[in-house]
Amino acid sequence: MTIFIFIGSLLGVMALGVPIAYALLLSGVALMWHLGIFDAQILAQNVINGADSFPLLAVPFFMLAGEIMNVGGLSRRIVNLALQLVGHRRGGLGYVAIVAACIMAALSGSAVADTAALAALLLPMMVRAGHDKGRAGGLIASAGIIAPIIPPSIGFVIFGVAANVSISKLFLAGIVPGLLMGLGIAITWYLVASKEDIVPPPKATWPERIQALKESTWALVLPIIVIVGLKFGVFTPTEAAVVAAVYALLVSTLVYRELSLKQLYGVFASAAKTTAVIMFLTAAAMVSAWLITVADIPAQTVDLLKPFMSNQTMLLIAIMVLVMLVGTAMDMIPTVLILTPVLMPVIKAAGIDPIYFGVLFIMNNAIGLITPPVGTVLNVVAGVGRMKLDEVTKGVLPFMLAEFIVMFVLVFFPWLVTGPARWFSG
Amino acid sequence: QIREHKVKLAFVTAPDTGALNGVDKFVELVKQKSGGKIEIKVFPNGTLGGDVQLISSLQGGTIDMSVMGTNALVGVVKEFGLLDFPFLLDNDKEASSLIDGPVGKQMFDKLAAKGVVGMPISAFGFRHLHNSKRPINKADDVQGLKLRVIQSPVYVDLMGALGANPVAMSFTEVYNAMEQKAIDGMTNTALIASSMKAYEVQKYMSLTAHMYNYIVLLVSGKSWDRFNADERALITQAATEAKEFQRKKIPEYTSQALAVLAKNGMVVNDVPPAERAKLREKAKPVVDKYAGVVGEALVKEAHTELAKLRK
Amino acid sequence: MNRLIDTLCRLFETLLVILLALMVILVFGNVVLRYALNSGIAVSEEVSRWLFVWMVFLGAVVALKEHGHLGTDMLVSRLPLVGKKVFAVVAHVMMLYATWLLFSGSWDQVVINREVLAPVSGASMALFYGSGLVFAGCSALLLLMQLWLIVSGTATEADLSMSQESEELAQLEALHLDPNQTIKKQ
Ligand code: NA
Ligand code: NA
Repeated sequence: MTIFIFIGSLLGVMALGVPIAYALLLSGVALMWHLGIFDAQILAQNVINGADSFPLLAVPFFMLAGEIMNVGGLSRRIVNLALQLVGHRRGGLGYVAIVAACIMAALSGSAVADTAALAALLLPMMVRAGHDKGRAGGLIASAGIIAPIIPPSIGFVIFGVAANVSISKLFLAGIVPGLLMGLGIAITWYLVASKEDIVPPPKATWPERIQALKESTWALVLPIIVIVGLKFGVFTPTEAAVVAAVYALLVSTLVYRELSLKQLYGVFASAAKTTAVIMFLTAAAMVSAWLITVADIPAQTVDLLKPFMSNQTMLLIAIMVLVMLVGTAMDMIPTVLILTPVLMPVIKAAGIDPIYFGVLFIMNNAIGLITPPVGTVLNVVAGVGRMKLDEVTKGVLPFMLAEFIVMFVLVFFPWLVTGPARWFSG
Repeated sequence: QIREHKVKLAFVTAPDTGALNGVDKFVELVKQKSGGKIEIKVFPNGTLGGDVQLISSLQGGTIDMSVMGTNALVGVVKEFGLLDFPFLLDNDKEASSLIDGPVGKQMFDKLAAKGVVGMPISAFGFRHLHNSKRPINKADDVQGLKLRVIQSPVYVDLMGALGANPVAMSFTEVYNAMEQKAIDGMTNTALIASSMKAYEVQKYMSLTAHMYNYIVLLVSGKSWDRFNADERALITQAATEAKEFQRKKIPEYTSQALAVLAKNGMVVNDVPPAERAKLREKAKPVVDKYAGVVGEALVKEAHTELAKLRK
Repeated sequence: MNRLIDTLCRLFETLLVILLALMVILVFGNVVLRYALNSGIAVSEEVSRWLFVWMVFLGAVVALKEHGHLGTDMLVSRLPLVGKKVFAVVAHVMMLYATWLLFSGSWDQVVINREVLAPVSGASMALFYGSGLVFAGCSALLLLMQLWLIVSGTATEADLSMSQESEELAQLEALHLDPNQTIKKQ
């Protein structure tokens, strides 16, 4: 009963057009009435304390790092490097997008920022070369969502805080699954693009390649700093985020000299505003999380999922399908915030490794960014590429399918996640 | 006359610490004494908030009970800072007497005035020092060690005074930091050292006994007012019995924990009294500094009481 | 009134930039101190968290003004104008109610915590819970104004929608990703 009051009030209020953060507060109010513990302090206390978390400081810092990379010329150099390395192959520009997306994913935590940069840089080039615009846009969208799987990742930060699991371990566990997603869409691209008759760009000479590598070295050092720093416990994830931001700032102002003071102000303002929106939502979700705990909903959910409990794979499939459904209509962060407090007790009760689950969960949510009808990343590609949403949606389907297949492969073969994760954290 | 109540009790540590912090025993006793009428639901793991939020929730009445270390209460009643004084206590008996006696009462009275009824319920015992570099046999062995401390000025100052490099860090990060050698070690109680499996990443456990960690039961003043006299007496009695039970158990648990550390390859050593005295001497400026903060009169009273016990 | 709100939001935006910059300096400074000088600023963690809390709530006010909070208009966008207006009024009243609860709850917490001191910095915890008061106060003002615009009939159709679909779409505008500009040096 309680769980239906929570979900019903949340969806009902959202349908009126109330922003999700406020809808969460109001569903909290409904829960308080229902539980007979109405007290405005519960709202205020959880909202304010919900924002008071050192690990969550990683969010603005990674936002900042991502934006500085795009404005400060780091992203462009990475795309250029990928172009010189794999551009000449058959369907080469597609592989360029995938390689560049994987490298950029290691620098930024946000799918939207990465996709926007990739679409702006590569889509016109791909269309000029003769690729189908919808398909090219679809590929870029599916490559852009690797950003939250390969560390750093804002999705992992929010999940780590909500589920109380190590963000460092989540980060390190995401590396291989993120690369597998890249491999999945690369194979799909090979299958669909080989039918297109395209003349690839000329093969770059070795001096050109070395030049491109030299130019992008400064950008390529950053993921190494972050991953090595996390692996050896040199930084906490929050510190890794601030180091990434400061590093990107130094490279784009002192080395590349592409970031003006005015742009810098804009970058800070925009990172702060985006963070505020995400964090206000996160803080509002703490109210319902608190009430969900008090109302013992996790125990009820565990009961509800009892039939699947004895079989970890069946349970995971059930949960993954649920998240896929939610993901068609909802954005990543609200889904993570709303489902984590309900799902985590189930995961723990079933004895599933929370780090492994976190990787699958965030991957599922990331793919949700390209599933219709509401796919934020699709909107980005359509917006930046000035094309119809339907066109991108049609183009993304084979790649989306490939990524879901990768996800279910990980469901059936957990060691693909846990093995490398142990190696990286060990 | 005992009526029906549903009580929310929250704490920050893991569910299995209930045996150490007295919650398991307390809940059992309340259930037994009330014939099941007073039902305590426990929310461990910080699901209802960290210590700072829990205290505020108790004051505001949105939760009913909590257990936590006294160091979390210093922001509300500064006098609790006395209990964090380094080298204040020499053994468990002194620790129990101090918090049960007039000094403890003054602190709890001040806390009650702020809307939270408090009483001792358990203890994690003495804090020692473990690290991966060397055993602390001499006071100078602390010199230069990079040690994690909790986010509290007196802890930071103490480690600085002893010659270590204090690194303030949250508990969730510590294991990883020790494993990766980002820090050399930390100050810890034997109980927590064993439960966090410190032996997997640390070599030396030196029994410096430089601080004592009490655990108190806190009841929201608003909830307290809802209970009638009989119910209050029942809760107080249950807390007292739980406390006595824990006080018998903790030394036993502690020696078990030390045995676990040793069995898993940690070198456990006593610090010779003369060297502990040297450490105490080094800590003196910190004690003097915080005596001013806590209040000279209370500090003096505590020392008088302890002197009586030591005779 | 509009001018006042615009000025206030611009001021908040500048504050956001300053708060974020301070957070970067504090947290990065602490990392540098730890590794270069084997020391640290004890208050860095606590102060940066508090700056963060203030940044979040001031930013949330700006987002409310810019209709930047996350939401969906899947149902509302299909309604005729009258329906949109009715829904917008109901939604605003509900948001005002939530804002009022936040205000009164924050007020209680400020009163309770005015003498409670933060563990490291020793600042009053009222300063921390005060962020909720400022947020709720400013948001209530904004919501009342928007409600008045809708009821009095001067609101445009765009004013009726109070959210965007994605938390990061707003970023796009700031990215300057005009293809012509971005590929200029290729
Ligand atoms: Na990433
Ligand atoms: Na979707």
